[in-house]
Amino acid sequence: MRNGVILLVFLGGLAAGVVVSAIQPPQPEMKSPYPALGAVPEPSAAAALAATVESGDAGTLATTLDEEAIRGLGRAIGVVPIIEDVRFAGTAALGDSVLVGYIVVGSDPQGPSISGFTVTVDPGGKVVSIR
Amino acid sequence: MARLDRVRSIAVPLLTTFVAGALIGVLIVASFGPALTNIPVLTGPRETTSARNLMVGFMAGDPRARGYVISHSGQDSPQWALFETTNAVGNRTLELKLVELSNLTLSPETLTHLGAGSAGPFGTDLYLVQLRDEKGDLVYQPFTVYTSNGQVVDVR
Repeated sequence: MRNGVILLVFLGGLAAGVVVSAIQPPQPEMKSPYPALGAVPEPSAAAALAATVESGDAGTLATTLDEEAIRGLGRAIGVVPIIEDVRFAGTAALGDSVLVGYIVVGSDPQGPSISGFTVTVDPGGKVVSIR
Repeated sequence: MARLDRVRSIAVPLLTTFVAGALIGVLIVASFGPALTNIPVLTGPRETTSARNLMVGFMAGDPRARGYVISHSGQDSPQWALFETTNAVGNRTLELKLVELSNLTLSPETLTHLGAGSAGPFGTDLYLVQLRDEKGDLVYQPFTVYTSNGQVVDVR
C-alpha cells in the first residue's frame, strides 16, 4: 500500500515534469497572407519517376528523362548518396500543369540525410522538368 | 504538535518523491524531446515554422529573407533565368531583371507548401512560389528549404 502510494506520487511528479517542460513559448509564427494553389491527385508519370529514383534504376531514368531533367534531378538528390525512401509530399495545380513534390530520405557517411525535388508534369501527363 | 510531526513525516517524503519525479520528467524531455518531435509517426510531416517564416518574408520583400533565399539558392546568378514563364516575353523580362535583382519588383501571388519530411534532426520543406512580373505574366519557382533542429540552414 505504502509502496503503491509512493509509486503513484513519483509517477505524478514525472508526468508533471514532462508537462511543465513540454510547455514552451511557441516560436512566433508568421501566417502566410498569400493563397496556396490547389492540390490535385498525384500524376502517374511523377509517381513512376519517384519509384524509379527510389529503386535506383539509372538505366530507366536515362532513357525516360532528357538531359536537363537529369541534371535537375542530380542537383536535387545529390546530397543524399544512399537513397532509402522517396516520399510523395504533395501537388499544386499550376494552370494545366501539375507540380509534384517528393521528399528523398537516406543517408550519407555522416548519418541521416534528406532532400527534396519537384517534378513538373505537363497537361499530356509527361514529366517536363525536375528541380 | 505530535499530529503535526505525523503529517510532516508523511508529507515530506511524498513531496520529495514528487519533486524527484518532476525533475526526472524534465530531464527526459530535455534529453529526448527534440528526438521525439522528429519522429514523423508521432508528429506527422508538418511545415517547419522557421521555413514558413523565411518564405513569407521572401514573398513580402523582407530584405533579410530575400537576401538569404537569393544568396543560398544561387538565384543571384543567371540561374534566376530558370524562373519559368508562360511565354517568351515574360522570360526576356525576367532576364532583364537580372541587373536589378536586389530590387526585385515581381509582385507575390501565391505561396504553396507542397509538403515536408524529416530524417533525424534534419528536415526539408518544399514550396512553390508564384510571382507576377510587370507585364502581368505569372512566373514560378520551387524552393527546397533545409532545416536542422527546426532552424533553416539552407535554401535551394
